[in-house]
Amino acid sequence: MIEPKFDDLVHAPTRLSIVSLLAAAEWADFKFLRDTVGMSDSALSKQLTTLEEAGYVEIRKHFVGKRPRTSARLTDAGQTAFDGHVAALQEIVARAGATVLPG
Amino acid sequence: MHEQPPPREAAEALAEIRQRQEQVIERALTPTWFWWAIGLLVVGFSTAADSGNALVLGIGTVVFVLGLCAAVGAVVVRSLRYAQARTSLIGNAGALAIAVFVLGVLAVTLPASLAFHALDLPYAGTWGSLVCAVLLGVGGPVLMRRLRATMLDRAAAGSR
Repeated sequence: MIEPKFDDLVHAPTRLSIVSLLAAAEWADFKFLRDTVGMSDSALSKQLTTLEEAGYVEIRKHFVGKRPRTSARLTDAGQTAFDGHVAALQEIVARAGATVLPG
Repeated sequence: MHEQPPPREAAEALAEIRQRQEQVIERALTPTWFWWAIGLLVVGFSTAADSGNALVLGIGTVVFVLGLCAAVGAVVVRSLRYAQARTSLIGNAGALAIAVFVLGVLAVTLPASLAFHALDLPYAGTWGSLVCAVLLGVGGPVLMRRLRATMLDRAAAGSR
């Protein structure tokens, strides 16, 4: 059973997009995150660092051939926070009824 | 104490979450071309085997192995370049769908091939592999759609 827990850190718009992508992935490539969310390298780095400092994200730097690659994954703490946040959002929507669902 | 968002904002956040998860899952699914490519390789190999010519069979085997490696490699590299969907999202329902697909292909292809042989049809193996190729080409994307729905449901439910 997931305990609903609203998380301000996760709810910020760009971080919500990043964490949502990571929640469905084992690992996600930095470029994939950047292009999918539509952020600059520096903006994405800043958000990932914030999430990493909170213990929500693990960042891995490695080489594929000679090319450096950066990947990120959600940690167990990050997944727990995300699941709790989703449950909290669902609770808010459920309390208000189906009329608030976006089209 | 933090302030919770109004219901409309919460609903929009949930829609955003679903859309983002869909983007990862979409990338992780095997593309339609893969199923037809595998089908084509199987037909090519069977035709080479049915030809009875050692040289044709040798070439067919090399093309089949290289083609298979290239197709699987392309799908794996595609996944590594973007994002690998959580395997746990497949769950029991997804695993069952995969098993049903594999067994279904075998259950139709094997009897069909045996029947073609029993009828002394020329190139019976090739006809059998054609059945297999069509099943892969048509059934593969259907399986992917099923897995996509299962994975999205499990992602929305907060599965690990």
